[in-house]
Amino acid sequence: MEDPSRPGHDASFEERLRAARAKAGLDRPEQARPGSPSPWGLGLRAGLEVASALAVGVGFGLALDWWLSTRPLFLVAGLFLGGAAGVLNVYRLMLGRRGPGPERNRGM
Amino acid sequence: MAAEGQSIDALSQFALTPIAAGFTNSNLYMLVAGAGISALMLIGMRSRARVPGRLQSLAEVSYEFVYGLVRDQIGHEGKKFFPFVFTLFMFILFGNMLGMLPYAFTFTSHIAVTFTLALVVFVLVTAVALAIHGLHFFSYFFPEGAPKALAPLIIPIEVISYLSRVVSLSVRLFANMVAGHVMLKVFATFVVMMGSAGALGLLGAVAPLAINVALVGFEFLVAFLQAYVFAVLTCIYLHDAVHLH
Repeated sequence: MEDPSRPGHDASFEERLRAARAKAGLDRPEQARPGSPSPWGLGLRAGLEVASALAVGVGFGLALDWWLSTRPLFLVAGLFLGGAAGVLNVYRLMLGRRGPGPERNRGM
Repeated sequence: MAAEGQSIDALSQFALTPIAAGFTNSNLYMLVAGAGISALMLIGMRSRARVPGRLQSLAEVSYEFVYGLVRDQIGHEGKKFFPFVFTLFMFILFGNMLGMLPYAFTFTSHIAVTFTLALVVFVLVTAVALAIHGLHFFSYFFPEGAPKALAPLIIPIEVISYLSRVVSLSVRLFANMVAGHVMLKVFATFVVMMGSAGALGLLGAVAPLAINVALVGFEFLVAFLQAYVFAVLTCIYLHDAVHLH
């Protein structure tokens, strides 16, 4: 019995299976996968990236100052460089990937 | 222990208690995690059944999960890093999950532990990059095509960005575990405090109890997710080290 009104009757088994699964709600939408970034998670991640880069920059500045006794010269330089590195980290986080390679998971 | 007097004591759960000289509850739970992973893999795979049982399924699923992760993130060359990533993932996962047991200690809630793990990853990634690319590795800190005059600015920024990986990797795991366990303890303390304040309080204690039940479920998700994130980021860093840029 041919039923031309049924969608994708001529389509392959895979396509019909996909349509049936979608109709039954078995395929969850992409965003529902664990590990996908929520706005909160992404925000916290970005904040952490800035804070950690800033901590490394300031730490290096203080260490250099302590070694060369030039306080606060390197502290100030480290603060700005650390902040710039933090922005760079967030930029790369939002870019998701860097150069050719396998698809990266974003917002981890 | 939940509510000493009328104050909330959320941090005593992270205290180290010595069991023997130089051996604390943190070390004990690390050994338990190691023994648990070994038991899962050795006992789970002992039957080598074609149709796996429950334990064998768990062992195979965790193996294949990490194997897929390593293959997808690093590529074909990444297979030799599989033992490292698998060990790291299982150790963190077991540490996080053991911490969800009542009265258990969460060793991943100490920055000393997570920082050491992150440092191991960092040293390995740098060593791999140096071994594969030699001195060419240092071109990583200066993008191609950038004007030479900007080198004094770009190189320190790239070096700080590279070093900040250790901090962000360790702080992410540490902060997630601490925050989750503090939340659980705070809401559990609310339950005890309100429950001991008469009949009306007992009724009110239902709300924090409900929140705590939801939080326990959420913490199981976080326990898995943070182990996964640590493993994924390790793979991404290894990919950078193998392919450079």
